Amino acid sequence: MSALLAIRDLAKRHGAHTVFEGVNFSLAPGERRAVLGASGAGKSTLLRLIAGLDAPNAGTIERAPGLRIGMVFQDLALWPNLTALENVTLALPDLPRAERRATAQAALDSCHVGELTNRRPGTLSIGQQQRVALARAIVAQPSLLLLDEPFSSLDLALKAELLAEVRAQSEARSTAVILVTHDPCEARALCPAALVLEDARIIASGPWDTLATHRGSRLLAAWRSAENGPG
Amino acid sequence: MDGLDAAFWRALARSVLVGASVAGVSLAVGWPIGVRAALTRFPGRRALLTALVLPLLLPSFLVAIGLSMLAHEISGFFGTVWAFACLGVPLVACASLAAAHTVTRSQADAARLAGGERHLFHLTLRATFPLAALAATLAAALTLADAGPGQILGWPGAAGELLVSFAARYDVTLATRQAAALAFVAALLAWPLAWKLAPHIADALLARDTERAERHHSPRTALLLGTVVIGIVAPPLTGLLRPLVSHDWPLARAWSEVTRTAADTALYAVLAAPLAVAVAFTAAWLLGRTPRGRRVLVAAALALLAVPPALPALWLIPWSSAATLGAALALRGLPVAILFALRAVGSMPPSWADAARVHRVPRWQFLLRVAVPWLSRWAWPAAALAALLATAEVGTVLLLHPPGRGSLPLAIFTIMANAPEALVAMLCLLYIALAAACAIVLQRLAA
Amino acid sequence: MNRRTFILIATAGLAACHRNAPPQEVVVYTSVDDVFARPIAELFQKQSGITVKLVPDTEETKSTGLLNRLIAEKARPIADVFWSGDPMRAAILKSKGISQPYRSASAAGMPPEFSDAAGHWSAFSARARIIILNTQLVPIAEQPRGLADFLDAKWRGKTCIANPLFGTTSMHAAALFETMGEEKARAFFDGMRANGVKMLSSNGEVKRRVAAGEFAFGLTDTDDVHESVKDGKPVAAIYPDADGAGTLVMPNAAVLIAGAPHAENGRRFIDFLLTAKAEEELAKSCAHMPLRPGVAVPPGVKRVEEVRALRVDYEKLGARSESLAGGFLKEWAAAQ
Repeated sequence: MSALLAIRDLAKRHGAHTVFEGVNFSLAPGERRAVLGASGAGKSTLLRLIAGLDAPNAGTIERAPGLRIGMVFQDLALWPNLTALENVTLALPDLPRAERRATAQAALDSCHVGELTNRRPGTLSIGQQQRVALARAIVAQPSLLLLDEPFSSLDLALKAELLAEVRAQSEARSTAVILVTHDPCEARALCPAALVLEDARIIASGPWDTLATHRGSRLLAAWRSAENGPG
Repeated sequence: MDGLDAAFWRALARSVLVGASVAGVSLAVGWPIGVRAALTRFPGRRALLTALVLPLLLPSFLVAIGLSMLAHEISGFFGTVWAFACLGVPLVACASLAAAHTVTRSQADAARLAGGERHLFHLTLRATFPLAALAATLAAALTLADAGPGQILGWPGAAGELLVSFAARYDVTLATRQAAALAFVAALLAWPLAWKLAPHIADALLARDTERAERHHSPRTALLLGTVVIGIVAPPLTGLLRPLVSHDWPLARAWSEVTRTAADTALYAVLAAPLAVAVAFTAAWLLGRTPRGRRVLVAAALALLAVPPALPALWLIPWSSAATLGAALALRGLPVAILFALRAVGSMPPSWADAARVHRVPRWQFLLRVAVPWLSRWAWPAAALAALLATAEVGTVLLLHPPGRGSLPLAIFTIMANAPEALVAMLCLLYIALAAACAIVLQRLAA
Repeated sequence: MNRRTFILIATAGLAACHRNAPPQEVVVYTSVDDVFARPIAELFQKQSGITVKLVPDTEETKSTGLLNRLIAEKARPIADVFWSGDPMRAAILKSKGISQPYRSASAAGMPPEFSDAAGHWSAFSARARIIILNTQLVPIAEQPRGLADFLDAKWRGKTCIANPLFGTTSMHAAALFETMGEEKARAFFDGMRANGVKMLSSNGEVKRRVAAGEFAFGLTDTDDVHESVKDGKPVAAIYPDADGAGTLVMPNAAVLIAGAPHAENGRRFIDFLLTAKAEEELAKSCAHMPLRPGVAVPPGVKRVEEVRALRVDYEKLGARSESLAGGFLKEWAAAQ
């Protein structure tokens, strides 16, 4: 199976500051991978490079031909003057006009916000906004879904619900997912594998059992001690 | 340099003193009152706010004449600062009011929880400072370019020197040189402030919550706003309209002037305001998304405002027409529109455009369906202010209007010298009433 | 279509409908106050059927000057006629090559000394520079008789004049420099400053503040006093010719613009301005003194032959005024 995404020796700098360098990994279709790291580790920057919103200083990103990307932003980036339905419809530019509405409505339905069609983002609860943003990201049937810490501010129950939602969507459509987060628990609920961005490089990567035994990452150490509980 | 003699520099020093004082007064009064008005609801809110912007409708020379007619003691430095503050305070208040509206409901709730209304007020003051301070700086630049109040109230400044150069000596080249010196000094003095504030004018927000903060009930704000209205708005209006008390109202004669000029006055405003807004928003869209670009734009706006508007008009005379006049008047409103445009562009989180790019939304669709509607929330107040500034401008209209098609302020200006006082007062009253009515209708439609 | 779009389209439509040019028109720029010029223009329009497009200016301080507009439009004139409130501006146009000579047949019977010998401007109805005094403040016995009273210590701080850089006051100052000579004129202005003569922004302001009783008397034009009297104010006019020099008489001046787009209509308009009818109307509306002998005047309005006129060469006043505005008077005004 050929890779959906192949990243080689990727580096990003802001002036003299190196955000990260020597980043290598690839992603197969339908694969879900988390990018873990502390705040400011460059996770979002990596995601922006993958999405094509920013250019790297070195290295390459090879995308499978015709790769379609959907993305949920940290601030959701819902367009406030459009209704939920319009937010989703606008992300379907290639579809004939007649089909757009039905497709968008279906996406909202599949994210369980089908009854909020005509509401504007400002009038929705935060959980409902997340679902609308998710519907917008998946409506065009992307083969890669990028999630930039969209659930970090949610309560546990809502977070679990939404993660399950994404997982179901990913499995149903065989959509690959990259989830950027600082929370390994959240990552584990969605992704079978993760890579850890620390000290401006990928310090560890692989399935969770490998990561569980990895020594040398502050983030993973903190995670382990949290999992084991006090004492 | 010839013409830039000691007298010119002395006059310039007087102008700078007036400009700095006007900026100070406008900021001290207009900024808190604008923020308070944005955060609170109180009895008579709409009426008081409309009253506050009334002086913006008036050409500055009418404000000065109104003050001098009220009491002859109002003159010199003090009188000139007062006259200009009548324009500066509403300008800063409008800017602060508009800027305060970007404080979202959740931000406001957080601030209220943390420290009550007082805390929210202080927080909003801080959030609106860049725009308020820049509006005050614009007001100061405006005073540099305007000879009227200084001449009328006996504190002639650099703009007065310019006026002598071209209205008494017919020396356009000298006037241009003096204007260049004036604009240079204005830019030089305002530059440090612009440099520091311009990048903050567009501090982006996170867009999760786009609801406006709930307004707290505060009768005290009504009292404060009422005091400002009495101190800033009432004196010139009282002075101007007082002749109506002791005379018959020459309504028919005044109305015939209004009907003769109303269509053209509206036409010039309608040509100027959208042009100013379009140019300002395009410039802000293209340049306003980097701190450097914002600095350049703010500096350009300041320099533009410090140039007496009649001067560019003089160079445009060979192409005079209604359209040229509209364009020249747009220059008057442009600096204020640029401030609003920068704030507007800054209120759009970059993630909105990113989301459009990732989801392959065509650029024009994003512009048309997301950016333009969002920016238009700012475009309306910007257009209204640009229209007011453009309409109140007399010198440009005098030089460029097609014969027989002057504006109402120009008519007032040209008939006031020898017309009975009551007629002038009646005209001013009709003008203010019409402009206020237009403003209210537009406000209702835009809401 | 939403409401905003509707407003925009409607206004644009309004703008488009607005430009339908009448077939017969004459474009008149005038520095005469709108309230007085417009009725005359309307009268002409009624009689001739030619639409008058009036572009009025004011002589007040803030004006940027129609003269500048005329100068800038020299290569592509829009105006046909410049109706000047004084011959000085007409002379400036002549010196800059913006006027063309026209000797109107209706000028017959007018005293020739007020018009340009080469026909570049034709004079009619005149104003005069006079002293406006507040009758409640100045007893008849103490009334000023001439300009010298501005230097009288008795009136220290109680008199006023308009800014001598602008309007008719600038012409008056130039005339004083021409007739008194540089030295005496400077001494006169310095003497006024020493005696606390207050400089105000305009003649209108002089009129208003004398009428309000803030000043005992000031220098202004005949029409200002007339307006104030009509407004019921306690003021009177004194013709300052007691000292022998005479009163500055400022006739209106009609100028045909070189290359005027509607030159023939312009000539007809000038013909009209020079008629007895026009002079009579101006005497009634704004107390302008008819130049033509025998024109009826309302009570209180003098004829030009009743006033002893200061002898000046109007043509020289323009250049003199420009040089004063860049020199002595500019400093004098700045020191106020």
